[in-house]
Amino acid sequence: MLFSYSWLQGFFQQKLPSPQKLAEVLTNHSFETIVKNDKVLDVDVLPNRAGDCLSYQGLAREIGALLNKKVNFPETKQGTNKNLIKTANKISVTVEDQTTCLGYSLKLITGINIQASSPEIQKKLKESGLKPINNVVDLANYVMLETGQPIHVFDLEKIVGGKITVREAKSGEAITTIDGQNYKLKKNILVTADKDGPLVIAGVKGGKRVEVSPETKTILVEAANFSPAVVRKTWHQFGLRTEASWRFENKLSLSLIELAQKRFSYLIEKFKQGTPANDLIQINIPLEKKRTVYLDLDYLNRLLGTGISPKEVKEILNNLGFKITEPKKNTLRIDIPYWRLDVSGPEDLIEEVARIHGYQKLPALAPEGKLISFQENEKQAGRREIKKYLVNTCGLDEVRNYSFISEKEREIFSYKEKELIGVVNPMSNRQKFLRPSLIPGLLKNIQDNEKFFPSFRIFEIGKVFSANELGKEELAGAVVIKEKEKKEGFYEIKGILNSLAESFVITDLKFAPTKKDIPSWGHPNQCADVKIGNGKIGLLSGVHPKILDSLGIKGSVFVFMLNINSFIKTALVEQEYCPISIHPAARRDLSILVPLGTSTEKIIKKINFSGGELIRDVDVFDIYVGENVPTGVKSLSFHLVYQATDRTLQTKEIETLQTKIIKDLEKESGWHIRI
Amino acid sequence: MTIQEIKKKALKEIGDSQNLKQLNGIFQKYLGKTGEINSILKSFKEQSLAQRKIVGQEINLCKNFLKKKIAQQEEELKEEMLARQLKDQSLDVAHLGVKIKKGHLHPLTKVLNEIEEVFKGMGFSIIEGPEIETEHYNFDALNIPLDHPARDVWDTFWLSNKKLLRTHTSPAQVHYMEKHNPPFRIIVPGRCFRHEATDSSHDIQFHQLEGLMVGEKVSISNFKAVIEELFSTLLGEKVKTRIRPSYFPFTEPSFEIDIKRNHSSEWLEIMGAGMVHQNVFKEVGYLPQKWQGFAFGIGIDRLAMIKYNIEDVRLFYNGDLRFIHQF
Repeated sequence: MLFSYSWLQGFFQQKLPSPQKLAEVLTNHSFETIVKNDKVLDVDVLPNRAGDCLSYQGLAREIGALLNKKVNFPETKQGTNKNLIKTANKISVTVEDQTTCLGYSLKLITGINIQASSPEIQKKLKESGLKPINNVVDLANYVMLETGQPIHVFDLEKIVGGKITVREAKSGEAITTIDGQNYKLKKNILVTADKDGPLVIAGVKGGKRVEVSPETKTILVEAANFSPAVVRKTWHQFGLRTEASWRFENKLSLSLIELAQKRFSYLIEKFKQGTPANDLIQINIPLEKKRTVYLDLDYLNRLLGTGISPKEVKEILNNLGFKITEPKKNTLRIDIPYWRLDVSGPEDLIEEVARIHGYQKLPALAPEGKLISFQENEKQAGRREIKKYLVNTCGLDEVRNYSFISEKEREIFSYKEKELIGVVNPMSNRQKFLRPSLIPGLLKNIQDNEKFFPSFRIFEIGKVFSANELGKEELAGAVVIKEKEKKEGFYEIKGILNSLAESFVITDLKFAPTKKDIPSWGHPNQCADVKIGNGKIGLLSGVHPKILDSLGIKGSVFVFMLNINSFIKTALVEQEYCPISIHPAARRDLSILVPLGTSTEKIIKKINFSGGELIRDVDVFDIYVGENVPTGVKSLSFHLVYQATDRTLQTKEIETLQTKIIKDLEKESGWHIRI
Repeated sequence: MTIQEIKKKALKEIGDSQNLKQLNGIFQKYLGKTGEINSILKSFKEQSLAQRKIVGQEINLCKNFLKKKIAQQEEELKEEMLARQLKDQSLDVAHLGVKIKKGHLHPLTKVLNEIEEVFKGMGFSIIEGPEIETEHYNFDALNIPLDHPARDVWDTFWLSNKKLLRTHTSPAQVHYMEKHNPPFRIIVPGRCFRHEATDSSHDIQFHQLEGLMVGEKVSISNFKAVIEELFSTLLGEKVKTRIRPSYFPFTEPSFEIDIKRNHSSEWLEIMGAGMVHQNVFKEVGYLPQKWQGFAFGIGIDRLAMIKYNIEDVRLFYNGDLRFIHQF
């Protein structure tokens, strides 16, 4: 709320500190405040304090407590009234539901002469961010700003039927508000109405039909209290947040109704602008219950972690308007003033003491007690290690994309709508669904980065969502090479995944051609399942040229996806130490011609099987198709490492074994050893 | 030629020799089996024993002398060669280094890693919570009933399955406390979502790190110590902090931490915090008034912006490698 500095000063005999200084004090102890144009304080009143501090008297009370200064509250005492007309003679009121309209009052004022407000009132309103209209409307706003109680003024002559009813709107009813907007009303909207229909959207905005105009002579002043939930629903429905709805939705004290009526009448008389009736129609305004809270001073100090003297505690609470007695040592009995609806328990009072004392002044004390040693979350640790490895060893860059996809992306990637989780209220069409995969995001990154980098590697770890899985963590990455036809990306990723698995001591990571469930974006002939043992944990694939075309990607792109949790779980199975042989290893090479479709895996398996335990390692170092190799055939070359743990292998022994392996391999049809 | 003449001639040749091969030739020429000195020895075959003895002695002296000289020369030649080799191997230290290809962590990952290290050092465990939440966990269980104006602070993305995208990491507090009893210290890092217009300091998604410490005597002063440790480790002397009152339905008292860069006049909101509301303890089934503790939520994106001087929060999520490569 905007507060005029000079208006605030009017509440104090003593001089207030400079606007800048005052803003600083308020920020540190009450509400974040900034100074505008040297004369206005923009105070971000906290929602729980809206009930008392969206008003000048509330903020003045707060400042009084902070600076230990006496506050002069607005005068309300009326002189003797010469008006013989009674409000009740002119109008009657019915409140249909006392759970939605919590309190209602009307006061008649005669002899009104509509004109402009005094320059002083106009200045105060303007500095508070409100537009001056005329003396009556301005006074209603003025009193609202002073007390926090919204006030509405009707022209009595325009009310039809002499009766006002607070009721739910009927379907089909409509209202034109004072700003000329039309609103169609529904059953759940609360209105103030006369015989001809709605006059006011209750607690939100007044209607044009009963608006005060230059001809107005007699007015009805309405001060009421509406249920916060009802007002909140209403303004949300219309997107109509007003000074009144802002105050009502945060709950106001019922005691403010009478205070605001008295103040309005007092000022009307003081400015000689009309004569208030003697009576006030009041519906349903009970005396507010006395509320009492007991505060244990030991608890206060335990929660703050420091000792604040009982004297200071009492002084702070006193200055804020709390009434204190001390029935027994270390316990205060505190009566809560009517305007502090936010206070209901000891913690609320402890907060009052803490903030006025000053959070800055509280000491910083290391927590006492046994230091519980932290438990490393395995997933967290695994994720961190994977990222480190991919970045530092494999040269991938980490990205973090939005968790959403657009309708257009859904179409490009052929996701079925019923398999996705939709967003009911997207901010823009980019957030139509939650992402079912990290791949669309990565491909967008590729599209965006291609113009700056010829070749690059990226990855992301994040949650993906589908109708039957509300958040599965996935690791996905991509290798981009400038030339479209290059296939190296596939093998680069294979190398990356192999070395990642190796660093996590996963020994049986395998790749097998994908037989089923090739994703819509996958390349049908460049797609492999990533397996640990026999379980599929991911996918490595080229991207379908159709997708690349529709995204305008020019380079060659290979991507991978990994179920990161399965990966980490496998890695956690304890690693076993294998003794390092003190006996030398020997290397032999072997080249073989096999049909094009033969998997490397199969050959390695065969070599291992044939060689037995003396084969320590088998590596492919060359795959060749082309000149000097018949069509339909490829040449693969392997390093074979022979080693025994208990002896040095003799050359003869190695040669015999190598010959046996070659013989066994040649038993396969179409396999020929070159060396 | 006399021995002395041979010696003189050999000495000159040794001195003039340029490499080991030449030197070896000189050795063979004079000291080899059929070398000049041996042939002189042969020419004295006919002489008397006494005569031969004298000449033999002289020849031996000469031989040893030449051997020593050749050895010396060999040593010198080897040193020269080494010097030449070292000179030939000299390189240009100013030449550009070979670029080693390394990737880059996302800046949010770097900041989160650092924060997690600090908290692990203080005995906090790292916990996780779901990104899709129910209204109950995101609001009700945190003392934010339906139609509470405070709900407007957490503008929400609603989902087709009647659930929502969590607007903060605080629901994870409730999940954790439902299954664990105090005392404990936890942090919960994670992605959160807000249904609000984006600009350079707001985005529809962001990262938060929730903290929760509960015990019998955990106080605001403890909170201050924990947070001071975090900021001094993470940001060093670069910033000032302030605590000011705030309001959250699930903490009482509530406060907020602002941060200011040394050369700036603008305070940036970085963290909301407070003492856990007794209603939240009640909600998870703890004995009323037995436990107390603090909770906080740090805006990780905001913190990373301050740490690295980043102007636009949206840079975190658009995957621009020109940005990522700087970290």
